[in-house]
Amino acid sequence: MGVELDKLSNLTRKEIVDRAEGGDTTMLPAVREMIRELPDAVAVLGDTAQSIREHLIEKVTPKGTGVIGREAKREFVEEMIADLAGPDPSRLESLLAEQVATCWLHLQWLESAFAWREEFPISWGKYMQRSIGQAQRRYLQAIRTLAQIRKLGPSVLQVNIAADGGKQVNKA
Amino acid sequence: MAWESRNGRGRYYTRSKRVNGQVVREYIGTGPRAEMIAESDALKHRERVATRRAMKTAMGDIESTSELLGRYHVLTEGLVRIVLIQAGYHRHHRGKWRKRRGR
Repeated sequence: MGVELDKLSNLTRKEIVDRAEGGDTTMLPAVREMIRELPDAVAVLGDTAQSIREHLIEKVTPKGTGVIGREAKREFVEEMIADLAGPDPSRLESLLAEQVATCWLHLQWLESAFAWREEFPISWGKYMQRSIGQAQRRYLQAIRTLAQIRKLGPSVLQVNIAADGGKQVNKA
Repeated sequence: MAWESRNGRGRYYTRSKRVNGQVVREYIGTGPRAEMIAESDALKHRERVATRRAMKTAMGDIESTSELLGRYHVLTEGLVRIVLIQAGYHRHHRGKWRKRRGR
């Protein structure tokens, strides 16, 4: 959001989005301002997702399988993202496909960490169950969001969030 | 778990345990049997310490990764909300997204 809009209102971005989401059309100019910042945000999110995945791939690769095991896992995840994104995906679909794959990897890691050893303290079991529950909720929400965006169709996918020179999402 | 000495006469191996929530001191005594039990207890203690340490490290890793993933997740969902609003959608109380009239 631009400086002028900040001066006009003390509302936080979240409050603006909350109000606009609820149907307050007076918030739309402020939301439009946010759209201009999306290419940067998308780039940051893409990089963040990539580094989280690298970290998780390292964790879920079975010990002793080395570089080959890690590469195989990486390739598997990249294929998963491509499958989820589908042919000729918009930037938004790619971003959400990455989110689903990242959440899936996270869940994989936690489930393998849960069975870390045959016997473990009760506190570990409780902690892991809570963490796995949270990861499952995130994973399912990520799938729901991707499905929802697809269902709403071109009007949503047409919103241009690509950086200059990046892939455009206008398909109509 | 400790070796105790009473009135300077030898060393006795003792250990504590919980019985119905109360800490009870158990006297094992002296000799080879006490030495063996003491060594076994020391080994179990070392294993517990190592497990706790490994658990703490793992929890720290899980916590920091989950926190980062949580922030990423919230930002991505926020971005989707902005895109949907820009595309002319709204929703009430986290219900179904609906197209605004006149768009």
